[in-house]
Amino acid sequence: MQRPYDVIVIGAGHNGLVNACYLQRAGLNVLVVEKNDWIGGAAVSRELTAGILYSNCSYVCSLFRPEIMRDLELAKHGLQIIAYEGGAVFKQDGDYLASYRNHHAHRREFARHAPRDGEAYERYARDVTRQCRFIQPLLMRTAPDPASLKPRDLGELFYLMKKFNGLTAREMAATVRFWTMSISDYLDEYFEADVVKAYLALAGIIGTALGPMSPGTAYVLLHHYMGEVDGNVGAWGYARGGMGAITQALASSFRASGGIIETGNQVSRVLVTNGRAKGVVMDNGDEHSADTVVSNADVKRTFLKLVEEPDLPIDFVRHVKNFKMRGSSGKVNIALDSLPEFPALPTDSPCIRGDMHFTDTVERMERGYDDWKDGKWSADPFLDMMIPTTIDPTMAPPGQHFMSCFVQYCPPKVRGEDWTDADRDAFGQTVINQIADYSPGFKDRIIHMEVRTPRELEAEVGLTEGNIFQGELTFDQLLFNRPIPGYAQYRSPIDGLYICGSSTHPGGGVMGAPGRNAAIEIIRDLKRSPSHVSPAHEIL
Amino acid sequence: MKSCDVIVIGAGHNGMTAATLLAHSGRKILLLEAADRPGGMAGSYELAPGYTVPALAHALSGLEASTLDALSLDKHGLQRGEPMPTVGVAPDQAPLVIMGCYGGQISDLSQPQLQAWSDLHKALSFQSAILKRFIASAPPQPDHTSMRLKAEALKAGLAVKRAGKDQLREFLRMVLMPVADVLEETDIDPRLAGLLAFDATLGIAVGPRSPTSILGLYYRLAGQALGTEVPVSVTSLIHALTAAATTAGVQFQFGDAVQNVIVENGVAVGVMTQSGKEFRAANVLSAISPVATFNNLVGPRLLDTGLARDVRTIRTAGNVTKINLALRVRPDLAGVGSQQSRIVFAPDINAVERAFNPSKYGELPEVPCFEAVLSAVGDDAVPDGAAFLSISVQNTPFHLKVGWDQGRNNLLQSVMKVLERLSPGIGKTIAASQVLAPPDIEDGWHVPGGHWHHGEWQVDRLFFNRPVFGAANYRTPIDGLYICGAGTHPGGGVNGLSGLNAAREMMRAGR
Repeated sequence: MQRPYDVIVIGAGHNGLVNACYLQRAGLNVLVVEKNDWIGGAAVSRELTAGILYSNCSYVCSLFRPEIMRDLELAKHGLQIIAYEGGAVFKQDGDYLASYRNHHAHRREFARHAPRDGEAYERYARDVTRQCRFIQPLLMRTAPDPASLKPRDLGELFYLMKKFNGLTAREMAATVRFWTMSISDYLDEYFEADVVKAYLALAGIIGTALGPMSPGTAYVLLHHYMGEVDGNVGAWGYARGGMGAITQALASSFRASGGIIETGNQVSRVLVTNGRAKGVVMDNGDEHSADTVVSNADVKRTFLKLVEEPDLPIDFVRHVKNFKMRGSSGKVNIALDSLPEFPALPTDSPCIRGDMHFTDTVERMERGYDDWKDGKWSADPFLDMMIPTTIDPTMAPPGQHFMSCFVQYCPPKVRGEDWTDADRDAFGQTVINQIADYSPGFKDRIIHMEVRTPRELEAEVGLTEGNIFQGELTFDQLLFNRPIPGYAQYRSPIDGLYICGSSTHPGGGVMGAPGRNAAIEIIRDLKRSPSHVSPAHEIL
Repeated sequence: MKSCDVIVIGAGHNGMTAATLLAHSGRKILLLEAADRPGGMAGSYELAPGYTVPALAHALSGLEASTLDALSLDKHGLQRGEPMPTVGVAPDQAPLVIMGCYGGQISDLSQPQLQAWSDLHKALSFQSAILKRFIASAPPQPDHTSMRLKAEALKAGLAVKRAGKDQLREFLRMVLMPVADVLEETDIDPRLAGLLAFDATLGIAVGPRSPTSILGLYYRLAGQALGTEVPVSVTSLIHALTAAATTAGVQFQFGDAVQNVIVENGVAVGVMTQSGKEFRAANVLSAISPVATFNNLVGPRLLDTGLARDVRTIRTAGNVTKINLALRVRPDLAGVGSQQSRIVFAPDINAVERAFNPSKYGELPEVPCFEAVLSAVGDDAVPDGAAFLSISVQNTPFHLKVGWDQGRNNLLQSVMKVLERLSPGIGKTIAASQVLAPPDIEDGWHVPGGHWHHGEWQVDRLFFNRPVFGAANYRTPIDGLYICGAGTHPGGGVNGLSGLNAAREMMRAGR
């Protein structure tokens, strides 16, 4: 029996670490346990092949809340985010659509493809920013329970209503539309060029099990737009040294304030006595006692695997089983011996340093989704491809490169059967072939490649069904419905057991908000002072 | 000189409902109809000698006793019938027979499946009853809610309070879900799930796996939720409405379409017809498609840019094709009795979703899902021993890549292929057939896009956004011009609600 801790956090993903940092800083004695030999969950940098580091799951950064970076002094602990410039969508006819950080350059590029789209971009940017402004402050607040009459819930509901009432009637009507529309319909109201729509639609589908024509995807777009890099809202960047730099900085901050991380040991179950969490039992038989247990694992893993079913209400278990977290994406990580060429782009174009795509119509994306619905990976997949080593020299030897390809759609099971290695290789080949169509000699540059399907994601990171957001971002699983109606405030039916992963509000992405919000709830329950937690700031 | 108080454009069921109600209040009403008979999309025509049948709408939904009473339709020859049974059919499967509306008896289900359905039905009815409170009057506005709606909201709140926290949470979770997910959370029979998935999405450009698709089911259930829906045939309703309007003093003018609304100094003062006749009135109520009203009758020049742009974003492309088959012999379909019956071919959820997929790209489904209304034995509208099969085929997009000249035939063949499997030999008994694709509906009924609901019926175009923000209260920015019809709140379905609501709004405003 080891010495008791106040809090045990299960899983050293970014949310688990954010949560642990805040709790440790509140004066609690926190232990983080991690099943893998390394920390980071899905925000890690590992060695792909000799000398080449890579972000094997999440690959870009924008959503991570700046309040958290500041509170936890992550810059001091080595975190640096570099905004990237550019990006391109390659068209089947040999042309391309470039994207630039400079608003005017971006608008001119839209206008090159359809004259009216340049003007429409001004209206679009204004309208989407307005929606961002509305939603962003909600990320860092616990969602109110609409069925509760507690003063705090009523206060939060009142805050929401006040915020909504701050809009004009026309804006309210537009907000309701934005929240419920498909990204395809939404973009049709602004733009004409297919490639412009395809470029903008991608943020509406990344990580979701929906197609661009499904209602609700306009909101998903917002989920990817409301981040920021150094105060530039909507900007995306690379973490220097890969995404692992974020969790390494968090771990360093955590240890600096006295926290302990134990790796290479998996929790087999949460100890529950008389409806109260009492600690955890590890796979190797060790027990750690604590009156507070926080799970960074997803809601299904936490309540269906780590907790015994009789300890939970029947309705709660039914809801957990019905929670949707079907994986919809895969990842292909490639080590290259030289920088690939894309003849469509002008020489030395900055586009190669950003995100590149080969899907030039919304219809192609949607057809990819139809494949997924039938239990197949997309024959013509959508790729979000980038080469972080064009900006970050710390990840590969000079001349060599790491290329990250996020691939959608990729089902959790293939036609209802488990993935086989042959399936995985065929899936990887589909991706490579698509890139090679636009980059002659691409296949010869490959030193090494790793293909990750939902199966690999689940086995390594522990994400059930390989869903990168620990739960789909649909209306029935957002705000006070996330993850389970009535349990959306990070607490569970078991006293002292909390959840802090992306299964909770506000959801997925390397954001840290769920971990922080859960910490505030725990600090309240333990009657500690949350004075070291900055409130959300409204910068827009 | 004003020839009347209100000119109503379009003698569809909503136009006639509004005209009758306004006439009851002593107003002088002129009702202008482009066709030579009343009914609009709910009207009848002669398909073949001896077969006089409804052209488009073949079933009512959400028609309530209160609506019939408001117009005293019973005094005008309305024939109330029995609720139409619904039969879910699929080749090689036993038919699923639902007597009455959804709440009625269901054949051939095991006890656990009946229980699962009964639980789901209870939850859905409770939830649709909440929404129903907001469809029988002008819609709530984001910044303004009428006293009546506030009272309804309070009543809804109390009902939910009585039902308990769990019911409220379940409502807030389910209200925007994909209908497929709701159905798959339960253990209901796959045939029933297919039927419900079909009913939820019919007439709307969503599949059962699209978020928000549960709303279509709520809308269908709304009429039944409080048990006030009345079974009436479309033909009988139109006859009774016409009689009621005539008795109330509404003056009809057929066969001359309105060319434009006359607007002077920003005020609507009358209309001009295609034959050049001018009619003046204090108010104009347009019961035709709002897109046609704004773009064709008023013209974008008289609208402010915001409204003109919003009107352009109304998604008008229809996706239902009507196939009318005059059959020499009543077909033998398992499970279908001698009554008029609604036959639904939607074997399971995936079949409905697969039929939806190609429609997104302007293609026709390989195996279409459809509902078909089969006339009763001894129906007067068809020759003795013969039958009329009225088929609404879902997922047939207005913009068809191959073009509808080829599409009509392709679609008819794929529907016949299914029908032949259900009732071998049916093809040989066809006396006449007609395929009315969305472009045909556009041409024949003056509905841009040929959409059943005059515009997509999805969450982003409901309540204060239907048809567009700024014209969602049956009023328009043009003084004296009012709108009603399927394109306005609460939407389509032959139930007269938008006509009722609009007429009441006009009377409230002293128009």
